[in-house]
Order: sequence, then structure tokens, then C-alpha cells
Amino acid sequence: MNESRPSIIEVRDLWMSFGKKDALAGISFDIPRGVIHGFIGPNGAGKTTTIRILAALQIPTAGGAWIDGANVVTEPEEVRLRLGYMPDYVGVYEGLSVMEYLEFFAMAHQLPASRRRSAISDVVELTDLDKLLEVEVHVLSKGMKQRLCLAQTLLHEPDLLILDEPASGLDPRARIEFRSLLTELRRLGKTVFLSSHILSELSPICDSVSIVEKGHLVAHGSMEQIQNRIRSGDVQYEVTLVEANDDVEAILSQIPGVSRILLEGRKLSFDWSEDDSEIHQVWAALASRKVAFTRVRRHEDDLENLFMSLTTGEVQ
Amino acid sequence: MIGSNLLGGSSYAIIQKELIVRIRRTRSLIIQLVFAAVVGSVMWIYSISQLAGSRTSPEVHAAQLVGIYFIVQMCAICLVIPLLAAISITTELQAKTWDPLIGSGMRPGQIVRGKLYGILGILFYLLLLPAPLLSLTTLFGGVSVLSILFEYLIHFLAATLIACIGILSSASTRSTVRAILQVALFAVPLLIIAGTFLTSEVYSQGILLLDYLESAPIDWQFWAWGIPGYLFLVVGSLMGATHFLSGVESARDVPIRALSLIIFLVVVGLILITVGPDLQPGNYNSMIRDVGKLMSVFVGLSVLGLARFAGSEARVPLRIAQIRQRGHWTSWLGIVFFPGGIRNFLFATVLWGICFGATVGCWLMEYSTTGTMLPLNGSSLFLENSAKFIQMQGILFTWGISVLATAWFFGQCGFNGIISAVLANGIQVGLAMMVATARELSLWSEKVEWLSPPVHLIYRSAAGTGAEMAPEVVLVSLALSTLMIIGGVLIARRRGIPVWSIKRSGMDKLYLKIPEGN
Repeated sequence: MNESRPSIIEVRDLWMSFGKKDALAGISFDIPRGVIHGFIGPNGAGKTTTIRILAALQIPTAGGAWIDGANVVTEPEEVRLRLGYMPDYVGVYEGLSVMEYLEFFAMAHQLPASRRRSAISDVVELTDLDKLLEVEVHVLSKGMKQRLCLAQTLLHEPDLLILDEPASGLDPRARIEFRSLLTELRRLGKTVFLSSHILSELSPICDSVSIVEKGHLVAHGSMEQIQNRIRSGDVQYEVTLVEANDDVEAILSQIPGVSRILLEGRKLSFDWSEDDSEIHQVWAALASRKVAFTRVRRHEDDLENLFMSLTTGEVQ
Repeated sequence: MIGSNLLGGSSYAIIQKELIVRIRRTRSLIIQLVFAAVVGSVMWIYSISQLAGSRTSPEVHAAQLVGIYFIVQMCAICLVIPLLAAISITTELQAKTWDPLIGSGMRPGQIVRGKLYGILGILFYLLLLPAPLLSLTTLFGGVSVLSILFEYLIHFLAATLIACIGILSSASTRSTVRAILQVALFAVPLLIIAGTFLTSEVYSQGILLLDYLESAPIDWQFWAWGIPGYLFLVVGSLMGATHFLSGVESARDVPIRALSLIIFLVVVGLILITVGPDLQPGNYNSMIRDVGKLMSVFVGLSVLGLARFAGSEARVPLRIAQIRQRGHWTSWLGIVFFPGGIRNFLFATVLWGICFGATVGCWLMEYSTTGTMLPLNGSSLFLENSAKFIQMQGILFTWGISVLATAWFFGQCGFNGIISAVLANGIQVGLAMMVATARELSLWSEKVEWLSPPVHLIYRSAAGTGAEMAPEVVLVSLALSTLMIIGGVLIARRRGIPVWSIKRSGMDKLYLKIPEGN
């Protein structure tokens, strides 16, 4: 591992053409270490193509990408040593048990015989597969197969995990479990680069995102950076009062920055155009008039809103 | 682990996986049962029939029994091994296990070797399955252990060859059905030819193959050709499969081109060895007669295939551009083989020149031996024929260059290698048909033959000794070549594709732009 490099993934002017169609049209970005980075875009945006190039499975038409300093075009073996790649569809070998499957990949990763057992033991513990070691892989549920595939990618202890649509096809419970698994991996210092269509799954765990559309990178950065970039100005607040109070509207209308006040029973909503650090004025004004409230919700631009704001929905 | 060290860790992993996965399947049990049942039944029926008739000695019975066993075994090899080999790569692709496999850091070569060893492992298992049954035949005498081991060796070599070709088909077509068909095209004729020969010439005589070879030794030339040929097919298939799996637009063109050059040099060497003994004073006229004409036809046909190289993708694959940019010494050494730009045309011309040079070289060898023979055979006729022969070669050579230049032109226009070759060859076929039709119908003057040098050569050659070659044909070919090359260069410039360089700065489209900073 090259700790001196601030970025674990570096992508420069990446082009990928299939005939006359440009699946990728010169995208560039860097991903720092130790983050969970979401790579999102509509179907046909170029997500899987980018991921396959980063995993050294496809040669780009032009440009370059580096994984921890190793060039994906000229040093594919080095690249594969430094990352764990999980494709969007998990294919398994019929007839192998979970243990045999992991042993096979441990040998494929050229782990020394002395380290294989401990590596397998570590990854099955992390992925909760330790009770399924003797089960044949083709009878596992999709969620368990995803876990098995993730376990396989972790065997050689890569610093970077590239996961293509890891949550697709999983039931809600499996998704939540998979999400907590990713969070745990980040805690262990891994960098996770994942694509997904299920934006609500990415929102809570992603530190940063890239949004691609028609082979172009339309947004890249931390969630906060992107929110600031596209924010229209006002932030909407929703407050649940303890009891209905008609004076609230008059109280709030005197505070600069508050607009579009709407009161429906115990539900109060308003727009706030000042800086977030000044919102305490609103709470102080309500408290001074003894207006009690139980819940405050700030309507941020979540990932779905960001996605809708930044993409046109056109498919290549 | 010893096995791991001998076979290379990752290859060993593949072997282990292949054996576990295949042997655990129900179909594996069925194949074993069917194989054992067929072998047992055939041998049983044969033994009973022979014992009932009792016309031959037990020794001959034993040898024939072993022969029948090996025929059945050969059938099994020719049916099972192609199937196993043809699905070796395609099943990984269809089951979507290929990406995790290659993503695990395994190299394509290790996977190909592992697949081969896995298939051979299963073959070993199948071959040894009826071994106890076979061993009983030695009790009758007439069959030596050495002969049986030799039969096993031959079968094993045949299976290895079929497996290698099957893996190559599987890797190249990426379709199970097409791969099975391709390998069947090789395995079935092999089975028919070998089966017919062994049944009629060897086993029916009550002997085994080793005994046959001892009784009728084969010329050394057979081994001199056969052993390198076998090794070439095995190693070439494995190399080919590896390169097909190394990724689209990879640097695989480089080893393929290097291999092509070696093949051409080997073929030329073999031609010289074969034709060489005929090039002596007693046969002084062979080159300007049948042998020379035959070689010219082969050389002429080779240009049609070489158009594939000349017309291949005009742009330089990114991997090559990046390797070249790093300035590794091997990139200087291998620059001749780098695809893209004018190198496509030059490389095809070099291979074409090797073919052509072989024919002219043979002619020169013969010409140099004729000094003492001229008074006996009439110098004027010989010199006249020689001049005509060398004129024909000149026409052939310049025509070949024009075909390659045309293919290269189409490559610059954006067509891939196969389409460019088809277009270049199609133009030649069209011209030949047009000229032949015009001539047969007496539509145009003889000068129209200039448009199709091969047709011109055929007509002039058929016309006999006195027929003159038209030097203008050479000029037409040279003019066409020049036109195509200039046209190709202009189109390449218009499309922003470098003609010679493999790196170009400031390209807007970034095709060859290598990002800085790493």
C-alpha cells in the first residue's frame, strides 16, 4: 500500500468507446482513502464500464486510471492485488461448499497455505458465514451469495473494495445487513467504491458520491459539497407541535429569514433562507411564547433529490 | 505444497476446483458408468465370439481384445474431451464466474493451464477406470506391458492435442455451441482417420501400435515434421487461448504478430528443405516449371490472408501506447510488431516478402546449379523461361503490395481488419471477373488485363513460352499502391490518427493521450 498517496483511486480523462458510441466521455475524479464512495447514474450511464476498467477487466479506449498508484492498463496484476472486486451478478460454482469456494479463491489469490485458514476464518466471521461453511454455495440465498462474494474479495486484505450494484436483488433485511457490513468495513480502514440504483441505500452510508450520466461526470465530491452546489437557497423545516397553536404563524412571521409558513393542526412547516447557524432564533422565539414541540425535521437535499436535480434522465 | 509449486499455485487451484466440480456432478457418474459399460460389453462380446469360434491363438485374441479396448477408448476420448474442452471457458462466462476469477489476480495463462490440467486429470481418471479389466488380457500372452503403455501414451497425446484445440475454440468463440462445432471439426476426422488406420492396419493383424512401428519403421522425416508440428499445435493453441482471454484491445496483437512471423519463417524453412533436393542440375528446370508455379500460387494466395494484418485497426491500442510511453527496452525491440498506423502495412509486406523471397530464392538456387547443364539442354530456351519466370514474380510481388496497400487504405478509413481484407480482396476478385469476362467475350483490347495482374499471369502462362509479359502491369500495381498509401495517409491525418507515431500530443479526442502525473 502506498500511504503517501492521498487518493486510492485516480481517474484521468477516461474514454471508452463501443463503435461510435462513447460509453465514457473523458471522466476524471479522485477518491480519497477510507471513505465509502457512491457511484450513481441511470442505466447506461457508464457505471459498470467504469468499474470494470478500475478492476482492470476492460481496457479503456483512452485515458488512464490508477489504483493506489498502479496503472489499470499496464499493471493489471498489481491492480488486482490491491483491490477486491464484486460484480453485479454473483456467479458461483455448483458443487463447491462455502469453505471450498473460499479455499479456491484463497489459492487463486496466492495466499500461502499457512495463511489461508486464518484468512478464511476472518472473512467468514466478518460476513457471518461461519455457520454455513459446509453448505453448498448454489443453495445459498441471494443475500448470502452476496456476502460470500464479498468475503471472497476480502481474502487478500485489499485496501479498496469495488462493488457493482451490491444491494440489487436483496430483500430489505439483507440490504440493511449489507449496509452495516459496509460501514464496518469503513471502520476497518477499507475504502469502498460502490455503484447502486437504490439511492436511499447509499444516502446514509456514503461520504462522497459521483454522479454520471451519458458517460459524463455531472457531479463529484462529498455529499455536503454537492448539496451546496445545487442548493436553491431556502431550506424547509417541518415541526410537530405538542398542541395546535394559532399564534405560531404570527410569532414566526416576525423573524427575518422565515417565509411560507404553513400550519395544519399540529404540523408546522416554514422555509428558512438565512444561514443554518441562525435557526436557533426560531426555536428561542417559540420557547419564549411557551410553544412546545416534539420533533423537528430539516428537509435536506438527499441523494434522490440530488440525483434528480443533476440528471436529465436521458439514456444513451 | 508440492503440487502447488510444480503447477503454479493458481493453476493448481483451478485443477482442484475443476476436479471437485466435475466429479461431484451426477452427469460425471453417468459418464463413468456408460464408459465402463460400453468398454466391458464390447470386450465381453468380442471375447465370447472369439472363444466360440476359436480360430486364432490366445495371444492374438489378447492383442485384438486390447486393440478393441483402445478403439473404444479413442472414441470416448474424441467424444468426451472435445466437450469438456469446449465448455471450459464458456461455462465460466455464462455462469458469470469469469470476472471474479480473473479479478482474483489469476493470469489468463494460469487459467488456461489449469483448465488443461483439469481436463487431463479427468481423462486420466477415465483411462485408468478400466485398467484392471485390461490387465487381465496380459494373462493370455501376446501383449506386452510396454505396448499397452505406448498405446496409453499415444491416446494421452491425442487427448492433450484435442483438449488444447478445444480450449482455444472455447476462448476464441466464447460460445459453447460454436466451440463444440469447431473442435468437432478437428476431432471427428482425427477419429475417423486414426480409427480406420488402426483397425485395418494394426489391430486386425493381432498386434498393437508399438509392434506395428517395430515391424514397419516410419521414415525419420515423419518424426521430424510430426513432433515439431504437434508441439506447435499444442503450444500455439494454449498461447492463442491465453491471448484471446487477455482482454479486448489489449497488446495481444504483438505476440500474434511475432508468432505469425515465426510461422512464416518456419514454413519457408520447410519449403526450402522440401524443394531443396530437387534443385540440382538433373532437375534444373523444376522452378520455372511445376514447382515454381505451384509455389507462386501459394504465395499469391497468402497475400489474401495477409490483407487482414495490413487492414487492421488503424489506431494504436492504449496498452501499447502506455507501455511504449514508459520507455521499456522491449518496446523498442517490439516496435516492428506494434499494431496501428503504417506499421500494419509494413508488417504485412515483410511477411509477404518472406513468402515471395522463398520462391525467388529457390529459383536462384536452381539457376546457380545450371552452369554445367546449359550446353546439354539448350541455353536460349532456359534463359527465356527464366526471364519469363522472374518477370512473373515481379508482377506477382507488385500486385501483392497493391492488395496490401488497398487493405491498409480501408483500415485508415475506419474498417476493422477482416472487413478491410474482404474489401481489398473483393476488389481483386471483381477486377479478375471483369477482365476474364471482357476477354472471353472479346469486349476490350488485351490491355484491359493490366487491371488484374493475376488474370494476366494466368493467360500469359497458358499462352506458352513465346507469350510476352506486359511490364505495364507492374506500373499499374505500383501506381495503385502509391495512390492507396497517399490516400490512406491523408485520411489518417483527417481522422487525427497518427501514421507512424504511437503517441501524439494535443489530440482533442484523447485517443492516444496519456494523462500526466503518474
